Amino acid sequence: MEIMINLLQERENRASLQKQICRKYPYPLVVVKANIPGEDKRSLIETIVACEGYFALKELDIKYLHTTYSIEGLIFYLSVDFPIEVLKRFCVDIEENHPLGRLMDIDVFVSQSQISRRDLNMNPRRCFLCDEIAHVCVRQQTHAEDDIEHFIVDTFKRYIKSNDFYDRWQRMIQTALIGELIKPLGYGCVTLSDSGSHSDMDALLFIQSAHAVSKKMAYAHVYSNDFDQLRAIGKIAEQQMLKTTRGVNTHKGAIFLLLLVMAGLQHPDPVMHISFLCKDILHDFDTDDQSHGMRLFKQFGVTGIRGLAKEGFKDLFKRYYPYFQSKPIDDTFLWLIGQNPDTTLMYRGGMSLYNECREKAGNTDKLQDRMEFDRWMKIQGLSPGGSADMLSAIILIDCYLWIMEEKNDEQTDKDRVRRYLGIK
Amino acid sequence: MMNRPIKTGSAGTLESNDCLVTIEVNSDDSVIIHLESVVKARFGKQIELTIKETCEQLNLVGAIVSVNDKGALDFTIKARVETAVKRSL
Repeated sequence: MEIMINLLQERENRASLQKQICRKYPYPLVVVKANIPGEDKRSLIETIVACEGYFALKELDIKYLHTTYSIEGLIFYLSVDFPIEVLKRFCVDIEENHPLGRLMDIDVFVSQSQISRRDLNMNPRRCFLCDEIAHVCVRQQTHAEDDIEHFIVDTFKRYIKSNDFYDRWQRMIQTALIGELIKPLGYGCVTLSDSGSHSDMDALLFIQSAHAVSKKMAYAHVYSNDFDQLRAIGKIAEQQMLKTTRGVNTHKGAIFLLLLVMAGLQHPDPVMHISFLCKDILHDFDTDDQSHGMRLFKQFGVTGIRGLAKEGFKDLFKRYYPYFQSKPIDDTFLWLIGQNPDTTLMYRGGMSLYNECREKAGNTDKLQDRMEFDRWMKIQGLSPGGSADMLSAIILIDCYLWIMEEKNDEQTDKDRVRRYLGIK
Repeated sequence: MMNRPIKTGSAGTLESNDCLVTIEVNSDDSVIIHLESVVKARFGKQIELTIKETCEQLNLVGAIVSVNDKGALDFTIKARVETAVKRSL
């Protein structure tokens, strides 16, 4: 009950924010969010749905862009310089025809009042499950919650499992990179709620970068046996990242890791395959490259991500992923910080802070301790970016195994509902 | 104790599945309810009853209650009326 009251309060706050934006920017305002019933909308599916709505609109002439993240989930606000009627029709088209469109809510406002489908003589929105007008089914509570959940997860699964292999991999990689941001506490990393220890990046930058790099990385699905080709695609993705973020390194480590995981997943034994692909990778250290990993090797002799790759990321596949299968995302991330040899941490903090951080991460059972650890990491300016990359890799593995399941297993789908929708 | 509005108070939004409730001062003791709803043809009576019951529970007098409903559930309508009344006192 209390959480419902919060949701109503949050909606009023948002209405007043929308008014403010409309007053300040004299353009139609488009508000993009997930249209999924529930009391707390901070889940993976809802986040991806909102992002896809934004990606469908991002080529328009956007004069102002803002995001909020609350119990209402992730919401995008776009002031768009475009004729109102065409804009509304385009938004309805996305809602009707995008693979995740049925789960999106794309509202259009002009001088503070909302344009409805009815204003343009268009048919009202239909219910998820039957032909009735959506308002009527909501009001009557016609459908069981289970059936609605099933529809939502099924729609999401169909989106990920596109018949087009390029789309499939692009969506899985993008989901993995954005999914990592929903961790409730970042311990210095960027999350949807805050920028952690970083002054030069925020969630929106990560979301934009995830979209841009995944569009390049997806080409790699046909090169799972060709290390040089993977590396070339990695370089292109990296360049796309720098262009999108204007020079900020949001995903360099993640690109390297996920491209190899992607290649590994397409073989019966991913660990063996990655380790085979990377058999010569430590020769990198003979060159003069100036990346973080190279400097750490020269300073401490740490082989970092390259060393892990040479072993086929065996901890990721044999220990980290199984851990995630039975734990909430926050537990997994915290545990990863304590387990994963994270060179981002070493690079930012040096060896003594690195060790202190790993020890602290292992001693935080209570929420209060976790919040304290989160504060401590921010004060120290530390950021376990390598562990965040591992979290993305875990989500990628999970998505891949999910869509590759031979038959539709109600129980595994239900487990995923719980994990992705955040339903306890 | 009776609750009599002394100023205009409103609560809610015009979003889908929400409603905007405005409470205004009435010239006499009666409570007048105006309802607009996207589902008025099918659920108008039910929604009016919810509004009426909520006003009675709040011992509201001398008020004009305008509800613009965009498909809210009873729970939401009740909560929005309560808040609007509070803001009008």
